[in-house]
Amino acid sequence: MIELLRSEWLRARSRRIVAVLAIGGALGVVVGMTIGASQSDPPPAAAVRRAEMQYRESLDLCISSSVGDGDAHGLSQEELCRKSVRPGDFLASDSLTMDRFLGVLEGTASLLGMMTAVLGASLVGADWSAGTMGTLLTWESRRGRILAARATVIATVVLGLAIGLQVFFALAWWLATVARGTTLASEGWLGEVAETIGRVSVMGAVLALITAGLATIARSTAGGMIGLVLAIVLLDWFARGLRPEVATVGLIQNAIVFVSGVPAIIYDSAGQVAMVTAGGAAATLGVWVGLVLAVGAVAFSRRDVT
Amino acid sequence: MSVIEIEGLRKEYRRIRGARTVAVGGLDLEVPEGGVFGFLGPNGAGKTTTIRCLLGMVRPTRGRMSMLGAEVPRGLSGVLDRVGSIVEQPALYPRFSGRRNLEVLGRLVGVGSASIDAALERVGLGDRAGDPVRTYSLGMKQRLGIAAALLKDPALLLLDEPANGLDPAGIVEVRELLRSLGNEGRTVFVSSHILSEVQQIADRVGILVRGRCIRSGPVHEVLAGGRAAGVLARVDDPDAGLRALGEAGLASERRGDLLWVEVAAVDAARVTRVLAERDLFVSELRADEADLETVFLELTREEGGSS
Repeated sequence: MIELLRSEWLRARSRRIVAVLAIGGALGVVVGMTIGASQSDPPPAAAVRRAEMQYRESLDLCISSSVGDGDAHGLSQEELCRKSVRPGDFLASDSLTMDRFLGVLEGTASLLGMMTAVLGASLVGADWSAGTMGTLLTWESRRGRILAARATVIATVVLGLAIGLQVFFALAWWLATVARGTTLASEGWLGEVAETIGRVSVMGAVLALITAGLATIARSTAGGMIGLVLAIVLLDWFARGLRPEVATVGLIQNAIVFVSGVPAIIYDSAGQVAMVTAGGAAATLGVWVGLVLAVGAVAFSRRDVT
Repeated sequence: MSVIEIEGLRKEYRRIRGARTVAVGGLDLEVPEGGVFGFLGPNGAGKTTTIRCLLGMVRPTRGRMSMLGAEVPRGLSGVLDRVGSIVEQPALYPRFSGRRNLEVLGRLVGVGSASIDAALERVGLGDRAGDPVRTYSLGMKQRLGIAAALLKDPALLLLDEPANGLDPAGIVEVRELLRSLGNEGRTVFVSSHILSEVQQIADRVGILVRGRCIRSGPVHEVLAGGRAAGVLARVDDPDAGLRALGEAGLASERRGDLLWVEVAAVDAARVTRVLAERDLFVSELRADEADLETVFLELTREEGGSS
C-alpha cells in the first residue's frame, strides 16, 4: 500500500492542474490584495483607538444582555456576541482591517470549493481519458486499494493546497493592513482564522472526494463535475424548493454551516422545520463522501476496463 | 510447466437492448515456460480481450485461467509484479516525461532510478527520457511501453501488437529485443498481425479465430500443417524432369515452370542426382515451405468456410 501511495503522490503532484491552481490562486490573492490595498484609506490612530474602545463596550454589553437568539442557534450568549460584534464594524467601511479577513475568508470558500471540486474530478478523470487506468491495473489489480490510495492522496493534496493558499492569503492580508489599513482585530482572532482555514480546507477536501467518486463512476472529469452540479441542482435547489427540510441533507447548506460554524435554522411557510448544526453538517458531509466513494468503489470493481 | 493456462474462456459483451457480442468463445490455450509465443488472429478474433482477461481488466463470462501458477483473477495480485504487459497502445500520461511515466509506475514495485535508466536505454529512449510523452512518435510511445513492461524484470511479458507504429528499423529492434528476452528464459507472449515478424521470433504460435484457438504448437509444426514436405526445382525441360523423377520413384508434379518433388529438404541432393543422371541440370532448388502468412490464411479461410 505504501508503494501505491508513493506512486499516487508522485502522479498527483506531477499533474499540471495542481500547479496551475496553486499559481492561479496565489496570483488571484496578489491581484485582489493589491486592489484592496489601493482602495483602502488607512484610518487615523485616534479612530482605531476609539473603535477598539467601542468594540469592547459593545461586546461587554452584548454578553451581559439577552440580545440575540443564541439558544435557537445552539450557541451561548458569549459565542453569539463574539461572532456578531466585531471591532471593524466601528471603523469606516473603506479601511482594511485584520478583523474583516475572517468574513472574506468564508466568502472565498465557495471559490476554493470550486477549485478543489475540479481538482478532485481531474485527478481521477484524467486517468480515464488518457487510458492510463488500464495501465495502472496491469501493475496493481486490487481496485479497492487503488481507489483508497487515490482518495487519500487527493484529500492530502487538496488539504495542502487549500491550507497553503489561505495562509498565503492571510499573510497578504496582514501585509496590506499594515501598509494601508489597521491590524485591529477581535480577541482570539488568530484562533478563529486558523479554525476557519481548517474548516474551509476540510470542506474543499470533501468536495474533491465527492467529485473524485463521481468521476470514478462516470469515468471522466466532466462526468464528475456534472454529477456534482446535478446533486446541487436537484437537492439544494429543486427538492429544497418543494420541501425545505431537504436542506439538511443538501451539500450547499451543510457546507455553509460547516465552514461558518454557525448553525442554520430551516424554515417553511409554517415556521421552523429543521436545524443544521456544525456537528450535523460535518456528519452529513462525511456520509456524502462515504456514500459516493462506496458507489464509486462498487462501479470501479465491477465494470470492465477496456 | 505452463505459464499460462486457459480453459473454456468465454467473454460476452452486453450491448444496449440486451444483444450480446461474443469476443472470446470458449478458448483453450496453454503457453509453456520460456521462449516467444506468437498469439495470432485476424482483427476481432479476441486476442486483446484474452490479454485483458488475463490481466484482470475484463471479467470473463466463464472459463478458468491461470498465470504463473496463480488463478486469475483471484490470485492475480500475487503474480502481477512478475508480469510485464502492453495492452493495445501503451497508455501513458501525455504531459509527463517518459522518465516520469516510468517513475510513477516504478514506485508501485519499488523500482529505483537506476532500473528506470537501464530500461530507457534498453529501448533506445535514453536521450529523450526528459521530453513530454505527447511529443513522442507512436513508435517511441511503443518503446516506452516496452520499457515500462521491462521495469518489473518480468518472468512473463504479455505484449499486444508491440510493433504497432514502429518504423522498419524499430521493428527490427523490437524483434531482436523480444527474441533476446525469450532467450533469457522469460516467456514472451506476443499478439501480432505482422505474421512475418512472428515467424522470425516465435518458438510457438497459437492461432485464434472467432474467439477459439484453432491451431497451436511449435512454429515448424504449424507451418507443416500436415502437408507433405517438398522441394521446388527448375530445369530446362520440366516434362523430361517429371518423367525422370517418376522413374526414380519420387512423387512429383509440375508447378508452373517448376517441379515440385515430395522429398524432405535435407534429401534434396537425391533430386539433383536423379535429374543430373538424365542430363537435366538444376538451375534453382529450394525447399517448399509455407510461411506463416499462408498457413494462417488457409486456416482462417477454412474456419470461415466451415462455420
